[in-house]
Amino acid sequence: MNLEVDLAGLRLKNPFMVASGTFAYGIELGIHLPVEKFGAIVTKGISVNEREGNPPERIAETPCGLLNSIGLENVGLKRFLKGKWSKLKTIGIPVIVNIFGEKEEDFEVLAEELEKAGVDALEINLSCPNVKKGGMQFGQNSKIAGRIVEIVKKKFKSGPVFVKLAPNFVNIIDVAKECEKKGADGLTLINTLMGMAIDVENKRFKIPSGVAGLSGPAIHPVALYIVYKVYQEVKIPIIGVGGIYDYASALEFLMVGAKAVQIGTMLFVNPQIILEIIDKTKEYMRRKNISDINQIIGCMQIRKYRR
Amino acid sequence: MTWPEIYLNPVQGEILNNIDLGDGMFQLVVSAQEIADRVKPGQFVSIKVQEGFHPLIRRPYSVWNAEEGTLEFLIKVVGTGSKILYGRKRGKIDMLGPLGKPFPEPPYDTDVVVIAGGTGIAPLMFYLKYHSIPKSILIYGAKTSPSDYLYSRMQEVCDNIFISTEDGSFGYKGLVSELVEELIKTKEVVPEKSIFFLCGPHGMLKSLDFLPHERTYVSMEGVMACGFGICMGCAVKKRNKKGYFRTCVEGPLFKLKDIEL
Ligand SMILES: Cc1cc2nc3c(=O)[nH]c(=O)nc-3n(C[C@H](O)[C@H](O)[C@H](O)COP(=O)(O)OP(=O)(O)OC[C@H]3O[C@@H](n4cnc5c(N)ncnc54)[C@H](O)[C@@H]3O)c2cc1C
Ligand SMILES: Cc1cc2nc3c(=O)[nH]c(=O)nc-3n(C[C@H](O)[C@H](O)[C@H](O)COP(=O)(O)O)c2cc1C
Ligand code: FES
Repeated sequence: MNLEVDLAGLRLKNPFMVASGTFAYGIELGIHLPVEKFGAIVTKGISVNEREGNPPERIAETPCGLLNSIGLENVGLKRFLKGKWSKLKTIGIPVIVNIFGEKEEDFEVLAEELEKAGVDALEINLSCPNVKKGGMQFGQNSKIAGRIVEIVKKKFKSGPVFVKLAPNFVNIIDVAKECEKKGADGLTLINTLMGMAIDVENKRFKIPSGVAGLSGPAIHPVALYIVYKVYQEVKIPIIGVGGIYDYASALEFLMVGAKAVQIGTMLFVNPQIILEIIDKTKEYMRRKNISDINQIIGCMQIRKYRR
Repeated sequence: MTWPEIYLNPVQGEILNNIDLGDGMFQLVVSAQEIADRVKPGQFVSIKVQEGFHPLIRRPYSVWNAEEGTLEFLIKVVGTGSKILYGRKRGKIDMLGPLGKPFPEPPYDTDVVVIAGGTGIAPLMFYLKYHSIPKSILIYGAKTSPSDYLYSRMQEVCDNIFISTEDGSFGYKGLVSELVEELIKTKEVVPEKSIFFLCGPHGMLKSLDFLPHERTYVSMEGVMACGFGICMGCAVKKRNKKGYFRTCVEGPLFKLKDIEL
């Protein structure tokens, strides 16, 4: 039985990986969990400079979902390369480093340095605020999004570059197509949906900054539909992410065309979930007489889009 | 940092008992050998209060007591999760743990003063019971009098108990911080000779910020998403420094001199 997929040149032994920001730097649980069984690791977002993140509360629960406002806390590029990357590369599975910036130049520095370090792949988080544009997300403007892709592609040659997008106040199809045009090797869909929640008793936002990112099973149908639609508009591979909670909700993404998937929020509830999804997928394939997982990919697409 | 020993396989515990203790609190008794054998005072267990997606995330609860394969929790009915737990009288319950770092061994030449508000008493009582401490003082504050049962359990772990109630139904009438000031004045508590362990609502902790920062430990109970170090959701501000600690793996216990309340 084959679970291996080719994701823009990255060979994954199975299509199941962690989502950025939901597995720290990827090295923390090494001795507690057989991480090497995952298809790949995606690190939390890395920026040029260290960021301390937002004050609490950073988390609020909503029905079937989770609002978070971590504030992109991370140790910064230098310490990431020194302390984390050296350990990450010994795990033996592909590592995708998630990057974000405050301004366009940041992406150039990140791409250049991570190229030198020889990381396997990059994932550009375009749902982060563009300081020069009053905090508007880079991914909310297809021109700016495309430019970031160009900048990163020019500097980073050691592996594929994925672009991660969210459907927040933007036509995500336009942005996706522009990113493809500018050389993106793949798309990660979707990042968290912007949302909020209020404590009416005390008349305050449950997350002090007000706005936060919604994740978890609540967003699964939205994410699935976006992958379904974007697949019909681009040729580059898609990584599906959003609300995966079991093997079936993961396979749904593959069936609408995703080459691989990421699991985030549900890792918090069940750290074993990826291992369980791998086992259950094998059982499903056995039951359905499917010898190669690639046979599933895109099977729920309209015929003219299958590939 | 040194990562605590954590166990990431969910354990299916069996609810043995669930008793209303009054004042909005209840005692949950669960059989879970793997966790009970390993847990040390100060650690917590992250409970999936029921199957399904709502509530979605686990709720962390400090272990109140552990012996012979069973765990006891002392829980206050607050919102969604604790309400559901209150109603769970029998059946299996999904738990992750023990999580967090255990409290440090008590020094033998110093008085150990524990100060708790409400269910914050849980980890502190386990601590007093677990270690043999020459001299300990337990100070407990709540809105109203503890149940006879809770009080008798306190007596099992400590000989010097002081209680404050906001309604004056038991012990000192007022806030626990006022009681502590009073006890310092009357020399029942001698800060220079004591180390303090605090656990309780945020307001109570803040009101006790006058205790010697070097000799005071605080067990934090903020909201957590994962409980084992991967989400960065449980941030506690460092004092006089940039950045945050993660309560779940760097705590839940911190020296007061290191954190901002
Ligand atoms: C290490 C640790 C140990 C804990 N030990 C105990 C214990 O022994 N006994 C016990 O009763 N509880 C304990 N808690 C708190 C517990 O985890 C839950 O937060 C609490 O039961 C409320 O959950 P809920 O689902 O009922 O409320 P929710 O529906 O989640 O919340 C209801 C309201 O309370 C607020 N709230 C929720 N959780 C917290 C919190 N942790 N701090 C401040 N405000 C909050 C929310 O913002 C919301 O407005 C502990 C927490 C931690 C982190
Ligand atoms: C606590 C938390 C932190 C996150 N941090 C990042 C991040 O740093 N970069 C990023 O691109 N996405 C981040 N995400 C988004 C996830 O990678 C993922 O796209 C989203 O949560 C949807 O997947 P899920 O429903 O499986 O969690 C974060 C999500 C959560 C819950
Ligand atoms: S609760 Fe997730 S890091 Fe502490």
